Amino acid sequence: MEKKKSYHRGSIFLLHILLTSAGFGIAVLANLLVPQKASVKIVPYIVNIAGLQIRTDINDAYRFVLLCLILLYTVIGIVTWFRKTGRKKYAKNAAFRFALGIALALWDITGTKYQILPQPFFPGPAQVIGAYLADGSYILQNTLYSLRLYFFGFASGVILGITTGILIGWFPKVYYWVYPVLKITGVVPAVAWMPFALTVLPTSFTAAVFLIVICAWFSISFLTAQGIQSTPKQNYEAARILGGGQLNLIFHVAIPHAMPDIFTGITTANAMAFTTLVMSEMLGQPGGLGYYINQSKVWSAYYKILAAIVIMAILFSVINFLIGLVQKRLLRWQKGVVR
Amino acid sequence: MSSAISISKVDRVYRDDDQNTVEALRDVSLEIRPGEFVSVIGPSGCGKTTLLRLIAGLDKPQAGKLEIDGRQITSVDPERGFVFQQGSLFPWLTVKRNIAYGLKARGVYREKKADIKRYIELVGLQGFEHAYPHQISGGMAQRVAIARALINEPKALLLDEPMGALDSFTRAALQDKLLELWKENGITMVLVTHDIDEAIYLSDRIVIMTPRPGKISEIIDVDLPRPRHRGGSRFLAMRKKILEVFELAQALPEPEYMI
Repeated sequence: MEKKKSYHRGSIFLLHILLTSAGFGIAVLANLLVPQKASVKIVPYIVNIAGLQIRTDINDAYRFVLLCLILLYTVIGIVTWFRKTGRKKYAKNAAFRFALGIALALWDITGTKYQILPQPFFPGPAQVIGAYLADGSYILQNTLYSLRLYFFGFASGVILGITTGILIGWFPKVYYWVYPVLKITGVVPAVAWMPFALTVLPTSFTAAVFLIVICAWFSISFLTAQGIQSTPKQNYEAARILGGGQLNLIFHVAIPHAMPDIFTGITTANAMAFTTLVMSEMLGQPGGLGYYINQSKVWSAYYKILAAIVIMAILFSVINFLIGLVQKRLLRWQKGVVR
Repeated sequence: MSSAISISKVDRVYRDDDQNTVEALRDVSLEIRPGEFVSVIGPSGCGKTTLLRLIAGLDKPQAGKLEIDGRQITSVDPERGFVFQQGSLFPWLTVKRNIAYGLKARGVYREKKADIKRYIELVGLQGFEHAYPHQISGGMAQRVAIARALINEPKALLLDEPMGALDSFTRAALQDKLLELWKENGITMVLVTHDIDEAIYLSDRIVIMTPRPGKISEIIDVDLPRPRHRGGSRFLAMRKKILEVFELAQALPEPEYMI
């Protein structure tokens, strides 16, 4: 029993901090010590950071990223060690992070050093990092374009979806006339409307916003309506007896009751919005990560495609995380959410 | 402070989609005095909850009249508080906010804010102000429901089997709490229950109802002094009397053989 528990206590915990960093350490060493056998041009880049001109190459940059990871996890580990909370979680993840480091080392050797993996489809991690050195500001520009598109589209989709959902859920007349339309058109993937969107709407940006709006709109309004309609009668009766009027019933009974469903809708819509975002960028946008991928494909610059994919993975994870935070806060009254 | 409730010749028939009818109430008349504690008991399907919902204004009769202090009951009103059997608390609001709901709904939150603390203390829920309904026990939830109804300072409190889902210890404690609140406020209480002991322990009068069609079969005065002793001989005699009413009321089947 004691042995089983000790892995997140005291000195044993320090070993977990070391284990977490060891994998990335090995990746650094692999990059430094394994000779470059395949013919990959390691060109120097001049990076301008805060007025400082730094001369670097893809291997330097890659090792820099690895060192940042080591630093990050060590700092988190030490903070965890002092605060004593979250040790279990950190210790649990140690093995995975170690394996991640080893995987990076292997990828580096097989992708860049020896190029055993088929080229140019599977470049090594250093080359992927190299894309940021070569195209840094351009990638940033495209990322911001994607973010702007996502934000406008998704925010309007959420607002429209919740409003429509409330109307459908509350007013039987609206339900009768609007719900069937929603049900039938809702199953059509948003990108199918792209030809119309591109010709009818004035700019390609508004066209893409429109596509994201409708893809978010349908699932959110669908689930919002469901949440409103499933409110127990007793809750309404209790509210009415306590003096609540129509507006009070909508805003203080029906909508709070529908909140869990609204969030289910938002998470579902979010995943679809990412898909729609990237697809519409690939098919007709003057910018964005999808556009960048498409453009890189023409030049067979697969390391740039991978670089864009990495940004997407990070960006969308962060967005999911933020939505999760809001959800946790708003739904803290639900069983199982708070302890 | 407290209301007189007058029910005369009320009929309530439910009809489903296939035109099957259920007579929930037939020709029900009852006068409840201000400040009286009346219990309505009867087997399920006798229309006791329907009667309470009519008094609350949640439902309307097909025939007959319901009045409160001489005014016809047309709709719900915060002056008639209601406590449901269970699960009527808003799960998304804390104990404190559930209790404050009526103040906000009536737009008197600013003036009456101080009452919240008083009613939380009244039902003994200090320390649980910020708990959510799923975090508290069934007995506590019902105390919240009672406080939530009382904060609107109703003239009558209608209770629909508020202790039906509780274990007997919690139930006994809540019954005492209810009596205490009643004595303090002096409001009219109408309690629907299927627990005979509960009815005897709490009420001035017990209305016995029978099903199909739902009607009042007998009204019994409980002339026992308070505090009542659940095991006392007069209590038990009263209990026996009511049980006898039910045996009669339930119309025993004719014996198949005569020996």
